[in-house]
Parts: sequence; structure tokens; C-alpha cells
Amino acid sequence: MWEYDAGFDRRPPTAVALPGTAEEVAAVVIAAREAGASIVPRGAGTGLSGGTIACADAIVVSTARMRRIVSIDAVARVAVVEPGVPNLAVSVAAKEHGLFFAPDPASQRISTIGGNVATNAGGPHALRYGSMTNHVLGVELVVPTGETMRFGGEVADLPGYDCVPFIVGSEGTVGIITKVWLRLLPLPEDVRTFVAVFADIEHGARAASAIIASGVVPAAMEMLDRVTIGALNAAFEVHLPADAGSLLLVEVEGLREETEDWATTIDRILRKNGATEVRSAETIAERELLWKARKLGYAALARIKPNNYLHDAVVPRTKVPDVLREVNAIADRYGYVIANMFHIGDGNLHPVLLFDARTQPIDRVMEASAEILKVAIDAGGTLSGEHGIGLEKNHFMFWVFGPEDLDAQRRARDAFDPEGTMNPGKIFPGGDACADIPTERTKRALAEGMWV
Amino acid sequence: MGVALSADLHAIDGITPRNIVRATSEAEVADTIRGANERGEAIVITGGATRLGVGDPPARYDTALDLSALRGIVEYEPGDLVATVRAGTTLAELAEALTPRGQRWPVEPGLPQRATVGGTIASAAGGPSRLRYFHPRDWVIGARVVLGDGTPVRSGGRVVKNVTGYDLTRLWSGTFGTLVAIVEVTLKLTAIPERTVSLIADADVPEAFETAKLLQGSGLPLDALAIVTGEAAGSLGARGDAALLVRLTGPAAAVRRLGREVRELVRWRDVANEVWNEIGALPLEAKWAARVAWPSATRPAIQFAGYPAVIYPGNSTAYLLRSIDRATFGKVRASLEAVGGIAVLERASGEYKREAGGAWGTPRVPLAIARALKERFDPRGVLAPGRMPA
Repeated sequence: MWEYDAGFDRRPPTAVALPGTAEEVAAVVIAAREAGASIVPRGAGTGLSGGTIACADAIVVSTARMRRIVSIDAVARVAVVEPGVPNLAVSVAAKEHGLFFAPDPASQRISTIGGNVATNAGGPHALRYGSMTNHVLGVELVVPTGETMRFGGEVADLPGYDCVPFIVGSEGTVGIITKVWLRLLPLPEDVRTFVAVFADIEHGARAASAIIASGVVPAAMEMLDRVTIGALNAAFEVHLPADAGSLLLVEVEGLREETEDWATTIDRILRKNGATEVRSAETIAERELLWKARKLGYAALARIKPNNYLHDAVVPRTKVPDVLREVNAIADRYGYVIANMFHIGDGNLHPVLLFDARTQPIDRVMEASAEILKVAIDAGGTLSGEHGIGLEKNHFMFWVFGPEDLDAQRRARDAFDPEGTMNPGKIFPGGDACADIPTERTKRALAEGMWV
Repeated sequence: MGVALSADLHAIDGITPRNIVRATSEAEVADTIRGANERGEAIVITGGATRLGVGDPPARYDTALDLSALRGIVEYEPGDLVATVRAGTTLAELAEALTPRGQRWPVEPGLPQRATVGGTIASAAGGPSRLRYFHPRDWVIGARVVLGDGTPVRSGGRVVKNVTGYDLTRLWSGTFGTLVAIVEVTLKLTAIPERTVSLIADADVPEAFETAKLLQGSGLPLDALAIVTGEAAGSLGARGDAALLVRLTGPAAAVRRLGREVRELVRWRDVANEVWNEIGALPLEAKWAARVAWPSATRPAIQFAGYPAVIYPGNSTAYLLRSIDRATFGKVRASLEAVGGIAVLERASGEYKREAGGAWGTPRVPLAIARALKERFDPRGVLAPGRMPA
């Protein structure tokens, strides 16, 4: 299990360490340093971009055993946790204080806070609350020298450069996270969830844009397309409207008076933009059923084809309808079944190319994928909204950033890890640390060949 | 590029720069910084100069690089709730562009006619909006900057969710022009609420803290919460030792409900929403000001009765607004730092700062990392050397 994550590539590490304390993490880092070995930090291995693949004969250091919730301060609304604590466990522990932890990646039952910090994970509710970076107040980090350093904490704007937002999303390339200070929020008084049915993706996407433009910020706004709906109905008892061309799942949270007001606005916009039906979840059970459908999406898609390639591009929200049309056209051209189930409110697309690796070569899937990325970039978008760059998209980085921009990112990394011993071969394009990964050459050729 | 006549605005602790460069483009910023690298000169970057004196006085100060003329909206797409603006755009100009579309940038650094977007981000400005909207950096999604060696660099983008490489945009926040010159930023926006109501209550200091604690503990979504004490309270029209202020926003029905709930705790009077501008300006216009912050489980050992201060109890932060003798300040700082808090001198003479042990107190970022960042982004120490711990 240590040779892969939820992405495609695999490579066995030289060794795996499972430290139980920050001191043990530091000891492992020092030992690796003395042995001249590089390190790949790892949480639950749910990452989707190959970020935890052990390139360059690295040692994998898993923080999964460090699962203690150190403290919850209900007045300060701060939780201090170890990196191996699963995301959902924070909200569960906070609930008795009337609080919750906002970031909710689909993997939240399994994925760890350490991994969530490292990838700046998002989730459906990032629409209203933002991603991990908006909720991480402080980090304790074992840096490549083996020193344990503390950045930030409960008190904001401590004297000095605030490296916390840099460490969040650094994908294990600057150190190993051993403790995290998290912001908690008061549980909303009321939650309302709707599902709106549209004849096609275009109408649904236009309705979503209109909601954002109206000034109402839903807590979450998700779109499911026809393929996804069909797969869900076939696989599970979710009773989604079978004839729908797209579904919008919209949720608002707040005071009862707020949700009532927003619900009226949203209902009006949905109908005005061609919703053929708007259902409201009347009970908690109905609401959970709607979210269950959303969260079971990938499992349902797996029944159509054994393999899938999941994308994470983000585009300006007003560009979503155009980009979706182009993305679906690419899938058609290559002859792949494509499913779209994504965070439409943020413009964070998750097109899923469905294929069978036994008969359909991965190289061709990657080629279609590169075309999809290009469409997103050309629309003013970017490579990844919440999954990360890792090994999967590093060679595409120069599609977004110029050499000086990338060099500036390297300078920041070097301030922590001048020798590049932490998670080598990730994020930055052009390196050779992961050259022996089979898909590496294809990706690199596509990145360099398609960029005109 | 022009040379301004008045140097007063650019003086820091009585030191007037020899040159004042008013840049109007990124290229001019890069040229100025490269020139300073070649000549071994030091630059201090300034916008509206509302917080120019924050930090330790620069060790050297040859040129003021004034970005207040590098202003204007570059791109604004209301449907995306995103706007790209030049760094010298003032908060007031920004609001002028966004208000007609019912949108705003939910950051309140104070003195919006002068404070610039770039300066607000570079100085991690506080203010009433911190309660609900947290840090200014949470509302910035992309930036163009010029590094200390003169290299123009872009980070982030125009999308609201982005993990494509490191988040340098947020790293620039709070670096006070010591690593980079911010020249352009892309901002995440939000809608102007349907209704905004501000209330003020007269209280003594303990009552004000107690009520604030109850309000916070209620979990009600308040938009802003402040306690103003001493003569500063009087300046807002308060009749007691302290004024407690709250701002309620949202759909009209929600604001009515919030109003009912807060009225159960204490007697309020309506006050104009502009009061928050006055509160935000107090720490920027005081002759002497210190920002103190503490972990919320502790209580700062500060006697606020009869002493002017702006306190944001929801953020466990206060701005002290009247000079106290250095020995007392030293004790305040030591007691705060002992529990993990801070006391930063935001407005004080260089001499006061020096004798107090520096503007910042004990740095809380590992110095090895701070130095490594400074060396890599500003290798020749051109940008405000000595202003921040490194």
C-alpha cells in the first residue's frame, strides 16, 4: 500500500517509517539525512495527484499514527490536532461545543488533517468557507535539518514572516507537519438543501452563474451531469430524476431568516433559468440522501468502467458553461465516456474520463487529459483547485507560470529545503527525480509538445 | 515616473529619503529596484503611508518608492466576484468601482481614502472586518510583485480555488515591503449585504467585556464587534467609560432578528455605519499606538478604564492609543509574550522602539527561515532592511 495513492502511478519506497510522536518524526528525518535519503511525507494516501509516490528511492514517513486531538478551545474556536487525525474526526469532536471544521474533502472520513494541510484540500463547502488555507492558524513542522519549528498559532499576526499560508499546500516539500492549529466555526442554525433538475448542462451551469452573480453565496453548489445521474441510479437507491440532463445541488446555511431569504432568491433564479423541477430536502434524512448521492458518485462511476481519470482544473466561474462544452467535445473526439460531478460554484471542474485500462492505453487518456487542461488554462483557469500538482501535473506547471514565477517558488522552497530532500520530483516541472515512473515520459512529452 | 515635491509623507522616524520615486508601472518599479541593487541603496515602499512607520525604522533609507500613483482597476468581472487592481488603488476607489455592482472587498484597514490595497495586504492590516472575514490575505487570489532583486513575478491566478504550486500570494502578506513590492493583486469579492445596522451601548469596561463575551458565546453571526475605551469612546459619542459597538448585516429579516437578540443583553442606540471608519482610523491617527493580542483563554493584564483603546474582543486584539512609559510597556509586553500573546509598537518614535527592545518584541517565526526568505527574495538587502525580524 505504500507504493501508491489514489492517483495512477506507483513505486515502492526504500523504507517506511511510522513515527508516533513529533520527536520520532524528527529522529527519522535526522536518520534519513545522515543516510543521504530523501523523504516523502504521507497521510492516509487518498491523494489524487501522485504526491506521495516515493521517487528517488525515498523513505516514506507516514504520520497516520499521530491521531491525537490535543485540545479544543470552544471560546477561542481553535482545535489543536496531530497530523494523522482524520478530517471528519475534528468536526465530530467539535460538535459538542456547537462548532465544526469547515473543509470537507470527499475523502474526509479517511484523509488526514496533515494531508489536507499539505494539499490545501477543499471540498463542496469551500464555496462559502474557503479551503484549508482559510482554516489553518498554525503549523508545527519538522524541517529537513530535523529541527522542529512552530509557525503561527491561535494569536494572529505574530511578529515575523507568516509562513503558514505557504506551508499549507506545499505538498510535503518543505517538511513534515507534526501539529496543526485549526479554526472552528459555530454550527449554522439552519441548513437548506435543494436539488434542481435541468434539461442539460448548459441550463444548469447558467443557473449556477446567476446564483453567484445575485450575491447569495451558497454554502455549497454542486453539479451532476447525465452520466453521473444514470450511474448513481443504476448503482444505488438514490432516486434521482432519471430524465435529468443535469442536477444542481445547492445548500445554504445560516440563521433561519437568512436561509429563508436566500432560499427564495435561489428558487426564483433556478426556475427562471430553466429548472424543470426544484426539490427541497424537507428532513435531515432527505438532505443526507442528496449528499450521499453526491459522495457516492465516484463509486457509481466505477461500475461503468473499471478506471477513471479525475481532473481538478478551475476556471473563472463565468467560463464554466463554455469550458464544459469544450471538455465534453474532447471526450467525444477521443471516444471516452465522460462524467462531470463538480464544485460548480467555485468553477472547480472534476471531469472524469472513464476507461478500461486493459483495453484502452493510458497514454491516450493522458493525451485527452492534457487537452482538457489546455482548455481550462486558455479560459483563464488553472491546473488544480484542490487536489494538488504532485507528480501528475508538475510538467504542466509552465503552462501557468513563467520561468521567473517558478524560480520564485523554488526560492521559497529553498528557504526550508535547500537540498530538495523533501518529496523530490513533485510540483516543479523538468526534474528527473521521478524519471523511472512509467507515465512520466508521456506527461512530459505532452506538456512540452502541446504548448504552442 | 515623477519626483514628488513633498517628502514629509515619506519620512520615517524623522529620516527623509534622498529620492522619491512615484512609479506608475510595473516596469518602473522593477527599474527602481534593480537600480537600487546596482547602487547598493535601500528602498522603502509606500502606498497611502497610513502604516509606513510600522516596524523597526529601516537601517538605511535612500529612496521612497511611492506606489500610490500605480492605481486603478485592471479587470473586474462581477459575475466571477473577482477584480484585479493595481496596488496603489485606495480602498475608497475600489469601493467606488464595486458598489454599483452590489459588491465589495470585505477588508477594513481604516482611512479608506488613503489606505491602498497593496499596503493593506503588505501590512496585514487589521480592522473590524477581521471578525467575520478574517485575514486580508483570505481575500487575495493572485498577485504580481517585483522581488527584491528586481525580478517581476506572478503568483496565484484569477480563480477562487487554486493549489497550482505554492501560494506565494499569501506569503507576501504581512511582509511590509521587505521581500517584494506588490504591484497588482487579484481580489476575491463578496456581495454587499441587503442591510447593515450598527449599534452602540454605553458601559463600563468590565460590563463591555462581559457583554462582548456573551455576544461571542451566542454564536450569532455578528459582522463586527468592538469596545472603545477612554477618551476614544468619548470621541464616538459614548457617555460612559467604554462604548460597545456591534454591526449586524444580512437580509432585512435576519438583521431584525439579530437586533432583537442583542437587545436582550444590553441597551443599544443606533449609530451611523460610518462609525466603523472612525474606529478603524483611531490606531492610524494616534501619536502613539501599540497592537496587543492574546490567546482568548487568558485576559490581558491591562487596565483599560480611563485609557484610550480600540479592542476587538472577538479577535482578542486591542490597539492601545496613548503612550505609556517604557517600563510599563515592557511589563505589558513581557506578560503578554509569557502566555503566547504579542505587543507590537505600531506608532512610536524610533527611540521608544529601540528602548522597548524593538517594534516587534520577540519574533515568533524561526529566524533561520526568516533570514533564508530575506536572502533569497532580497539578496542585497535593498527592501527596507531592518524593518522586520530577519
